[in-house]
Amino acid sequence: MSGSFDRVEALQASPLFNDLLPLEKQYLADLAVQRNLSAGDVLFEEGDIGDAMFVVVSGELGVEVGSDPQKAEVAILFAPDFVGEMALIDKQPRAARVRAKTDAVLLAISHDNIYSFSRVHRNGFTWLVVNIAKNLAHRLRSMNVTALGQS
Amino acid sequence: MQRLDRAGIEVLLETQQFKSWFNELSGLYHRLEILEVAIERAGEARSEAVFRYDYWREIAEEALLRSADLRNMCQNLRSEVASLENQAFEQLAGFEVARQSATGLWERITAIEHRCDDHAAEASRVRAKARFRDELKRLRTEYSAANEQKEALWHAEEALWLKVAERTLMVPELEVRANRLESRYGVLMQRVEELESRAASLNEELSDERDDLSEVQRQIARLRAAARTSFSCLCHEDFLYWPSGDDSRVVLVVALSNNSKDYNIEVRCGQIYQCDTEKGVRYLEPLSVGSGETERDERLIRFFEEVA
Repeated sequence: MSGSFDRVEALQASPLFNDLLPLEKQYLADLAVQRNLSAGDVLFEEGDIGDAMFVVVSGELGVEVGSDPQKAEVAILFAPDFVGEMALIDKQPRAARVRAKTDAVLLAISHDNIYSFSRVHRNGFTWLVVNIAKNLAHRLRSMNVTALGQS
Repeated sequence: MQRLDRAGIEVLLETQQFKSWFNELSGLYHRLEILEVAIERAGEARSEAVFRYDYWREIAEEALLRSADLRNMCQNLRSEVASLENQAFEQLAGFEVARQSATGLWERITAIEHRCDDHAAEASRVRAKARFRDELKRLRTEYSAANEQKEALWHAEEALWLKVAERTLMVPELEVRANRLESRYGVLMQRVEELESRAASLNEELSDERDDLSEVQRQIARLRAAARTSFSCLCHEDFLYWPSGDDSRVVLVVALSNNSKDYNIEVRCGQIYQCDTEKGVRYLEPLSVGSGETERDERLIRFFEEVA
């Protein structure tokens, strides 16, 4: 799917953009930058300073943690998963390495893009942040359940 | 420069004056692109022709040098043959002297032997042989030495003639090789001349295309300058710029060509974008038709109702 695809549809499929208005999605779709990865390409390394999040449009990516050569794969991402959204909230080092397991196409939305979005679509921006927060809350709850189960 | 908002720019883009200016500029950009490609191709072809004729000229000159070497070698061999022939004639004269000397000795030996054999009586024959024994012995020793010398001279003579023959036979073969190399030189030089003439014609073509390119660039510069006065904007290579009427930090830009690679977003020809005055077109933003926002955003109301 490295050819053409509908960017709005690609974003729409992701829960991160739930309830965004068509105009807002169109605006983000226009700003997003397409990234094509070949199988084995690293999207980002653990420790890299992040300034963008990525929506998977096609292909498969592995999330790896730990140090080489024994990195453990902790998750697999498919369309319409997203990764790196925490970088939009704080510019902290990436928590894991993400590498393409197959050829993959992604849409990158950078910090600058979100800033532009916030100036033009204030409510849309708020809603996007709510969606990110919902996602983080969900993940935190899952981790809590796991941690409690282990203890 | 006039401050304009989106609506103002959209009105301007629809005017006949702008359309004809834009069509002329697009035509010139298209011509410029064609000329740049043609110049690249002609430059590459010319460099290739120059490289090839330099290469073949070297090969041709090498063939000519090798042929000259062979001709020199033939000349040296001819001189050597003449010298060897002189030596051989001298040697032959020496041989003739040795042969005559040996023949003289042989005749004297034969004469003495005949004289001894001519004696009818056995006793007188034995006496005669006894009388000539010492002389015959000396003559036979001398004859043997003279004969050996004659044989040695003949062998030396034959060796010289062999050398002469070797060298004499080598010369025609070398001459044929030299002829072949000279003919190859001729063929290669013809190729060199063809390539030189091709390089010269490509040079002319290149020069004409560069002249055309300069002319197109002059016309583009003229159109850009005209845009400043006619449309009250800044005109660079890829965009027209107007300061936004709404925000002094924002500049509205119109793309003059499609570009999906070099900017942060896919730029479409004739589309209006906005950018920050500091960042410029390094970071382009789409110009939203409107925020679509209302005073009461149902999503947020619903969200706060849910979490309340």
